[in-house]
Amino acid sequence: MAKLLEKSLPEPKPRISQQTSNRMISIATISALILTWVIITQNRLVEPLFAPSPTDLWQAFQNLLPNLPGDLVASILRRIVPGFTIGVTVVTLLGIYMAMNQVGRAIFYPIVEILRPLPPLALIPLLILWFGIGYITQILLIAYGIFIIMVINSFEAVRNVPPIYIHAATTLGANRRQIFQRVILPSIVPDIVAGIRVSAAAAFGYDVAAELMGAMTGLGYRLVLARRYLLTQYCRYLDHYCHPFFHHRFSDQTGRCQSYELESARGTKVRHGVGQLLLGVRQGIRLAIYQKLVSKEVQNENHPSPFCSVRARPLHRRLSTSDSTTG
Amino acid sequence: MEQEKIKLQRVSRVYEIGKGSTIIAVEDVSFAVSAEEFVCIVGPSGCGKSTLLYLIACLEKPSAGEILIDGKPVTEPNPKVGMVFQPDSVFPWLTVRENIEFGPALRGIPPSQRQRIAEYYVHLVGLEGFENTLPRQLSGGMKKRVDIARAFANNPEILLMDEPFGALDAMTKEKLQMELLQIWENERKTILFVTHDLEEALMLGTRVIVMSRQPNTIQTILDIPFPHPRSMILKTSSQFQEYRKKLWELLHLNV
Repeated sequence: MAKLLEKSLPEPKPRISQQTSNRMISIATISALILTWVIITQNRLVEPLFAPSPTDLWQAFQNLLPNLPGDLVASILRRIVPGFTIGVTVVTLLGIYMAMNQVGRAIFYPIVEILRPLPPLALIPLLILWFGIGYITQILLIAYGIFIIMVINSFEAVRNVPPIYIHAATTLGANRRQIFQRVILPSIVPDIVAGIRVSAAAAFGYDVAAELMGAMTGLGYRLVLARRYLLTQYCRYLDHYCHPFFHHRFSDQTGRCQSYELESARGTKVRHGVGQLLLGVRQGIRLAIYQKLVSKEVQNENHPSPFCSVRARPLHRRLSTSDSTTG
Repeated sequence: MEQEKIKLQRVSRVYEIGKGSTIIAVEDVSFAVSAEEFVCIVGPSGCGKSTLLYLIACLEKPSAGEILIDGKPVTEPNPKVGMVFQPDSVFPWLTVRENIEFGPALRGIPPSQRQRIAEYYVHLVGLEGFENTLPRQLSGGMKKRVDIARAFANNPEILLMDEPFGALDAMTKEKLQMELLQIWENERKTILFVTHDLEEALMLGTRVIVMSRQPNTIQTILDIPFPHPRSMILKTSSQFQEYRKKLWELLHLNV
């Protein structure tokens, strides 16, 4: 009977496993995207300024290669890792505390709810005012960004631990500490890990934003620099004002940008001009703010390097000196 | 006189829901269970059967009355009183072995000894070969076995079981009932078993407590005289059917 059944069934076809075929679909998708990119850029369907070709990208990568390790270390080790660690630690502890302690919830929950809708980037001016321009501000920005993403996540994770697990552990003789260590912590791990995964991506975003404020190294700084180098007039500004050190390093790229501009069509040039104008206005405003700060500082102390003084001096001193001048 | 393992004296439990309105989950319940008894509690849904077990396990406190275990009033959860819950309560982050070792591990029993305990109970509930499996890979019946093994491995003197087989299919249920009977016949724990399945109550219990709804209290206590060891064939006997009818009438004619 079994034999008969075996014979009547058709031979099973040798089939590629589902996993392999899925992987092939993924590879095909990426390949198609790259191919489209190559076709568009090779045939100049779009201005190279707006969509650089893969070869340009490779060139840029090679140009950046000497700086890349330093930038990555600066971004990841000096800003993202500390900011991320502080953010995740604080938020996990606070979430657990709020979920497990009624008084803790009464104290912190309203504060959290008030803070949560505040976008981290909106805090930049305040952070600069309080902590100056420097690592502390940048790290705090990242930590705060992580905080508002994860706080409800970790709070709800503890509250959603099924009571049945706590009951079961209780009847097996677990005390409060053992319940926390052996039941609550392991059961919130998946939620916390999910939160960490979401906020890890955001941490890089906040890092870039953080480096907009006066960083001298890092990925975000490099991004800002590159953007400005496309607009050649401002390259000079950066070269001279930011750091003479960069001057020789980027001068070859400056030349590249200029040649781009010569090649590009007239329409692009017009748009380019508008972009420059806007950036110029923004730079002007920023410079004005800086100069105001600087002039105040110089008035107060005749400090030789105004940027350094804004960055390095703690809040209370700055406040006290400004108080003394007004008073 | 036999020692009373569990004694409830005029126990009530009232829940407050919102302003002024209350629900009486258990009202004026008194009974005693002696050591090594297998007592089943049956009753319509919402009659406070589960609440009784939660009160005895001290997961909740009675609003009135007193619960004594070995003659002492219950004040806090006690590992002497184990519990198997109706929903699946196997810890999903631990393997089968780690789940079964949970109670002994809490008491700081050394790993080698823990392993022996785990092996014994894995064998007892027939989960050999699944020791290092995570619960998500197990079927509902297998998870229930882990639950039961975990409760037994903690070596409680009293085991409270809250409709443990309620969510299982009929075949698995019968199999686990027979296994539970065997374990009880070997280990002689005091078991309090809540169910809504009359056959299950008659099959397992040495006594059956029948509860009523509104008031949520004890209606009758029936002694079940079937000798041990019992087997499934018991279900076909006319005496069993008689008892079944009697129980059914008690439950349905007084509602």
